[in-house]
Amino acid sequence: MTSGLVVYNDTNNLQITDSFKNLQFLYKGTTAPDTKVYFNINDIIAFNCADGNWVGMWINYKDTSFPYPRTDTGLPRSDGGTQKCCLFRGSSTITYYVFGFDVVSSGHYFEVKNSVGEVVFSDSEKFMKVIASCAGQDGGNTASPATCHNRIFNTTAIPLNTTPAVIPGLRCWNTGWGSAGGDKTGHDHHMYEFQNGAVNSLYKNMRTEYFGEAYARASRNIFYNYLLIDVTNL
Amino acid sequence: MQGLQIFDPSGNILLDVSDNLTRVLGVTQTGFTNGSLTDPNLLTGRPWFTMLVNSWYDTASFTQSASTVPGTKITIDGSVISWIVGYDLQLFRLYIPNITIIYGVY
Repeated sequence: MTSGLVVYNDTNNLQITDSFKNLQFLYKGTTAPDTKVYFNINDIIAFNCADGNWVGMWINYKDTSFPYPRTDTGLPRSDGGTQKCCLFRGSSTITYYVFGFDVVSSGHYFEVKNSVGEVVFSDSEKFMKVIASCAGQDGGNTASPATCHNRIFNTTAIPLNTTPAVIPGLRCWNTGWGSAGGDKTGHDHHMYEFQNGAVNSLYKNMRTEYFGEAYARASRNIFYNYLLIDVTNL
Repeated sequence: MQGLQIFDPSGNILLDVSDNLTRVLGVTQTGFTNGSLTDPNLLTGRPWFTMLVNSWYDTASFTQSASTVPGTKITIDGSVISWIVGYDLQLFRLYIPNITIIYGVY
């Protein structure tokens, strides 16, 4: 840029210019475990729960009254509609935070515009703040199914006086065979525990009913990624 | 501490010098095949990404029920973002989602 404003943080990382946009906070809400919540298809969803508890989220959860964007035809589906159905699992009340790209309102006292006059940053909006981008693999996830229950495989410390939330990405799982009417506990799935100033990735065993299926299917993934963000005062 | 602090009209701090905004560099679609992209701006900070599922292809024609974001492994190495779709160690069943990747640096 030849003129304008640039802002760096205390670790010399560029925060604000007229050239880049940031993800905006749109709204938040709370829900009980095992409750379905509908979001716009392009919403980015973060969530947390009270300290000492755990939470996870399934997107595109089966809902017979709301079949999109999942497909049950074996065909690529691009007409995914405008909403997605999410099911939260957890051990306490869940707070979700929705982010996305929206028009940035003019500022009360401070705003930054781009070269075509659009406001790209202002003090009227709240923007997403990153604590950590987490990615890796769980070397303890073996081929033996459903052996991971309660095991923590990644821990991230959270700065003092910061309220964290998780934006899930690829998750780990370890599921085994079951049969209709038989064993329905063969799903170990990646969840997030908020405890003592840290966010832990761990497995929780889920009964197959949560998947809307009669029995478990063998499947495994050891790779994960997720974002930890700061939702203090949102 | 030196730097810019921004407050809302109620006096709550919106941005502090120790914060890390998302600085979005780009948005891309994986489609249903493996791929990659190069963005030199990824070298200007610590990279992050997140993913949205827009649609998917279930190769086994089962009734798909629920998932988080299954089976697409995304990595960032230097200025290159790569993705492998339908990733499952046991390859019993392939869920192939069409992923929107939103990425940036913080």
